[in-house]
Amino acid sequence: MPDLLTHAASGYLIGRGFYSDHRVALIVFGSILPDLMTRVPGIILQRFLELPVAHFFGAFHTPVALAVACYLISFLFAQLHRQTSFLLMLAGALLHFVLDLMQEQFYQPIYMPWFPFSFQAMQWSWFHIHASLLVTPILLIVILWLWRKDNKLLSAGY
Amino acid sequence: MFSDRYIPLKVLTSVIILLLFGAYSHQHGKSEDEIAIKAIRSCVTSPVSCVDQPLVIRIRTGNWSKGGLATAEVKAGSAYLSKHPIKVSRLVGKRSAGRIIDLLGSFDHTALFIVTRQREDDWIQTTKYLVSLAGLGLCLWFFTRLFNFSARWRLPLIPRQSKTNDA
Repeated sequence: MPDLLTHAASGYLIGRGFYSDHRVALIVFGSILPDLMTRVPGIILQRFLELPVAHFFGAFHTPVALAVACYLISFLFAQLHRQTSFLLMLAGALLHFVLDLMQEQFYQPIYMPWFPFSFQAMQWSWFHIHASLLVTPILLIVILWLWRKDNKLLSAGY
Repeated sequence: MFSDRYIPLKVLTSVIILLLFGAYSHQHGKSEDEIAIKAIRSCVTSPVSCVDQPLVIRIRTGNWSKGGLATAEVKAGSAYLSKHPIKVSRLVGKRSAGRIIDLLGSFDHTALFIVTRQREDDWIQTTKYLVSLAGLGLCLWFFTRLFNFSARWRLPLIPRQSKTNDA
């Protein structure tokens, strides 16, 4: 996986192209959701506690499971914003998934776009698994600069 | 589908679907792992049966020869196959014992494991974790700046600017 900062930054940059309000945050949240649901419990339970949960949580890093998860999370929002929240979080989550498909794994692909109908995994092998670290500093500077610029415009009343 | 009606039922159904997905994936992954472990065991105990067959293994390095060959124990499941150490060639990095490395490679006719690719928990992985933590923090900060809990009993999240309209 690219690191979470790269995922969040890509969500922010794409979301900002369409919206300039709270909806950007929904896309950004969606763009880190797959790793929140799989890597975070995986690292804590598998790496530190040595529980065999990788495959269990691996299922949540698939488009269908992410759609269900976004639907579940959408109930945290008021009814007025629920459907939009679901769609934007799902868009962010799918963007994350597509970015993950672009990288080259150590050996075989691990991401399963057709789950639960098939366990067939795929990858496009466009860049190395750690390549995201090279662009992270640039992305961080760009998003902080854009965020500051947007805030200035907002406070100026535009 | 997104209305306030039957929310507990919708939430419960979603949770059950996710748990079933997890259980299904776990079951499938477990049987795949068993096949992989069996294959690793058979290749490590009898390398000539797996000549030129690509294999992904996790090893723990032991002694190194002057020619650059490492003796290593292969992990199969949760245990290392200490009784069947293998010789590894083309391993890059510090020549020390106790390194845990994931390898992609194959055995040759002399039972030597030739590495084509290796991966190790090094500073790059640690940096990636730290950068990811920073990303997570940044996201949560960004989200809390734009969303707020409303005052209603279920405390739904609402955008900060529409708080007065919705609460």
